[in-house]
Amino acid sequence: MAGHTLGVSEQQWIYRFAGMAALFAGSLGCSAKLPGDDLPRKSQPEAAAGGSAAAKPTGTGGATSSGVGGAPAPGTTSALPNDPAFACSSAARGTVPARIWRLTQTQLERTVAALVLGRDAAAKGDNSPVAVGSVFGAPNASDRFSTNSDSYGMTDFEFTQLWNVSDSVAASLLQAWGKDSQSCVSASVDGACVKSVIASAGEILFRRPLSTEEATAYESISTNNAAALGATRALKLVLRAMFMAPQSIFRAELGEAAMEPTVSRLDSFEVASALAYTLTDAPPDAALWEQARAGKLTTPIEVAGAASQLISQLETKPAYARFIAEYFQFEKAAIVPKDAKEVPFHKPDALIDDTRAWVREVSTRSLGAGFLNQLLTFGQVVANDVSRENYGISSVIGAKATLLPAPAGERAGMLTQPSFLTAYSAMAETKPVQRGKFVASSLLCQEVPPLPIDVVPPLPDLGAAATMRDKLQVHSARPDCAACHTMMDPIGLGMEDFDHVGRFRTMEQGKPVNASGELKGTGMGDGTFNGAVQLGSRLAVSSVVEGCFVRHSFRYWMGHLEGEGDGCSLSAVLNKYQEGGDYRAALVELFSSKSFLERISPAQP
Amino acid sequence: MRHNRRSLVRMLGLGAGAALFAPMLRPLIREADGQANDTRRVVFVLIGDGWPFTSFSPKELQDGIGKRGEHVWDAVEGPLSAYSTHPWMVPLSAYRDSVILLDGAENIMGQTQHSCGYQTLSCVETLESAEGGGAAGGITIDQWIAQKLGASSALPSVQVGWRRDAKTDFTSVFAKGRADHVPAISDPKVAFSTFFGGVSTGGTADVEAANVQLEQRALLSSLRSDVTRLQARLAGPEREKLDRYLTSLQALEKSASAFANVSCKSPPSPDTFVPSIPAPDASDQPVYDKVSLLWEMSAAAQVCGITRVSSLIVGSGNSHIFMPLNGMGHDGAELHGAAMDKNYTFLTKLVARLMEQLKAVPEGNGTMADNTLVVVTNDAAEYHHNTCRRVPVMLLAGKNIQMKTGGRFVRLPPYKHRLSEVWVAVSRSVGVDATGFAAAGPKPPKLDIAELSV
Repeated sequence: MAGHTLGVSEQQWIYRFAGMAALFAGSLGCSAKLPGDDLPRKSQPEAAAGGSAAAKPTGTGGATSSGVGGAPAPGTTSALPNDPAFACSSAARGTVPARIWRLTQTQLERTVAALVLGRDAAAKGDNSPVAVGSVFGAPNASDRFSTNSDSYGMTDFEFTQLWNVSDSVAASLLQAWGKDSQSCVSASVDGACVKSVIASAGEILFRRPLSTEEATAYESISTNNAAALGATRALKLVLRAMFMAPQSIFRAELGEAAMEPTVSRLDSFEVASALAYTLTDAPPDAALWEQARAGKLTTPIEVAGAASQLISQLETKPAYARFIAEYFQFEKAAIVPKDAKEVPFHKPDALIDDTRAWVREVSTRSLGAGFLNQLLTFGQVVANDVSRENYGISSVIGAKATLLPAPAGERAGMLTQPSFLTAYSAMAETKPVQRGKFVASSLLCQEVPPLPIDVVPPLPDLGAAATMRDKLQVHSARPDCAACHTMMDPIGLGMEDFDHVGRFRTMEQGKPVNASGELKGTGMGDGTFNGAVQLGSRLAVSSVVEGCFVRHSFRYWMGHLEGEGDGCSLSAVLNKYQEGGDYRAALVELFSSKSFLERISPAQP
Repeated sequence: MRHNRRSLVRMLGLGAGAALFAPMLRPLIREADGQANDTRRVVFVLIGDGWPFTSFSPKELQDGIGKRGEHVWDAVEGPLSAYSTHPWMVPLSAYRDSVILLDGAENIMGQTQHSCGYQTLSCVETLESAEGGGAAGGITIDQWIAQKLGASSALPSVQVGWRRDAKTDFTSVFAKGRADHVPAISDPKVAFSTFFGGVSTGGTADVEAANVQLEQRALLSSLRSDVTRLQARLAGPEREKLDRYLTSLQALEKSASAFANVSCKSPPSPDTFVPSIPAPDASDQPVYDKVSLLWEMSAAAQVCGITRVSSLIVGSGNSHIFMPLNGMGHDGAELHGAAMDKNYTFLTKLVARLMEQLKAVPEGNGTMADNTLVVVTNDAAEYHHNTCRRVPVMLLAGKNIQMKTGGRFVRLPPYKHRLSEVWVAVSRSVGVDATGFAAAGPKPPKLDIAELSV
């Protein structure tokens, strides 16, 4: 719709759309249900995390962490005593069953790249001469994070796509190797060459050396079909089979021989792949692979050492940028339609780019100390001439994104980023309910029930002069709405000093903006506040927010919801983080924890 | 004694040359395969960007429709012969008595302002509201029908399509179920290899086809062994991921087996294709020609017996994009007119050509056309910025399709019938029970549509 002139009928449509958006905003949480009544949706991680042996997760995100769930049982320790998610009992065991994840499109491409370019080049993301083609679609849009391992199965379509591209991938590999004088493929494809290709390609595709049984099976494909197809085409067939094999397409976390009847520990190869694919979207680089080969990824200390290497440049990793983007969801600014007549300057893509650059800046400065605090309070912005109006900057900046001091007192931290504020807005007005819901659920881990599909009461029509606060106060006074709105509205209305495209404002509908709000459940940050800047600074000093951030980090990096058996890991990660706000150190703790290293073995028949 | 296709061809002494006579042999072969009693097929055509009342309804029946009077109308029924003909109906004049133009079925799930996306054919809410996006919430009617009609086909269904802004072949409004979409192929070369890659076309090409089949068997066997090796180490949902992989593998095995019994006379080649329907707009000729080629390939897949459910989507699955004009129809009825008619006329010419091709192929006591139902609709419903309260549907049914067409225009009573009920009627008309279709939606089908039922 951007870039065209609105006609009369278009304008009518906008009104209709705006009305619907208001309905949605106004109805959020309007339910007589109490927190905790709603079970998680199937598409959410916890619905499928269990399997037969998994422990029950502690919540969806979750009321239990906000202090309402009660203290941990006697005999346990906890980094957040009022939050059972952090309760650590020596009897607790892991949550996650032996699992497999289908590779993402990027991971698939990098794996194939490693076959041609080598491990180190693939890990760096160098361009590969072998095009894989589109095989796997976008992550499940219903998941809170794109890394929910439960969602990484395979559809018929994806299987068919894989089948379709397998021939050209195998052919391209052979072509590339044929040009490499070091490869036996460039000379003659005989039995020894076939064995060599199977062994070397197998290590990359299967992320471990092939078993004798596997190697023999692939060799027999070549042997049995060489007469009819020719040696090279038979080898291509072998490569197709290996490329498509479930052991190749799914990365495995099965664990080796059980330490206890139901618990196993990832072997060195699995650890290497889990670290590498999670943090770099690629197979292990040469150094990490050699550690795996040498069996030097078996103890938590060894794993911590390897993780430290990968995490040392965390701010440069796309997986890290994705985490911050998915956590705050500021990239959703791109899908919120706006009226080009009202805000012709508004270019959401530019705002998103600004925030990405802003996150890099904050990360570079503070990943090692006070990271979350800075995410919520950093007082500079990144903008350029395309985006400056959203920031209220009148002077020319230039085309290049530039780090600037934010207008004094008006803007600080992620909650005042225009992309974030736009993402939690409607076409022509703010969404204080959605803004409040984000803070309550994602920063305080309070459980906000989902929107009930059968209850969609509109915001009241109080005339053109009514402010959003006026409308919400009438709406939320309804008894069936109040229970949930009291969790969100007092927070979201405190961000009303920013409009629907993230501009700071002092007036709304001709009246001075009332951006007073109230926080509960933060510990020392509780109480009234005024405006989003104050809100950010209150949240920044809250240990509850730190705990919630750690929980969300766990979910993203581990690919599942935390369960009862993860309390010790979470507690250790939070303790590590609270030593000085070093997020890298906290992640090293996480990637060497039992939650990362242990899996529940399938029950024996 | 029963014969399969291969044995029958051998018995008749035609060998590879039988491909040339495939249309004539098909009835015999079907009979040999025990399929003589069930030959119905469906073709879906979905267009994007809205099909406004002014272009869809006969000109004489536009009184009483407001400028954007989506919510106010009266039920109407009358013969098309009594009304003037829109330009886009002219190519289908020969089939007018087999057509019904249906107005007034509502799809409340589709209120996304632009494309109804997966909701068009599923009538179930997508998993995340987004224009033309979000994962499918349930099975779409084409796939519902394909489960049954396509059970013994080499390909249960084929989908081709084009969208200006599509970056990949993932464009689709089709789904086998929740979050399980079925793509429309937009690359003609991919379509060709998918539909005809393993098909015997006669001569030396058959040697290659045999090699392809050899590779398929070896590959499928290897993958099956690999699955077995891994299965024992997983349980619960993790095991289900592998089971799903295995199910896909089995479907491919079945398909490969069915392909071995298919031969096809000269399917349209992406390299040598000459469009029979000229592009109506020279500036966008490559687009029109691509759509023509994709259509010809999906038609050939039907004619050759590779599938019995085929679909074409043009500009569907999103919002502003139709051909050749970006944003056509953006400002309501006033801009629809000639430009939109031009594109619809192009598409009805494609439909007419398909019907001619099907009429040329004997089947049972008649031709393939007698056993074919063509469904044309718009996934953006009645307007570019739609309400989906009135989804236009054109049905063209052969004489063996259990659908009351009869050359009529029918405007259903306001808010009485759901689009899902139209799809139920479509499914039943080709002999596929639709009990349970769209049951997961908040408004599942509940009434028969008397105007359609035979």
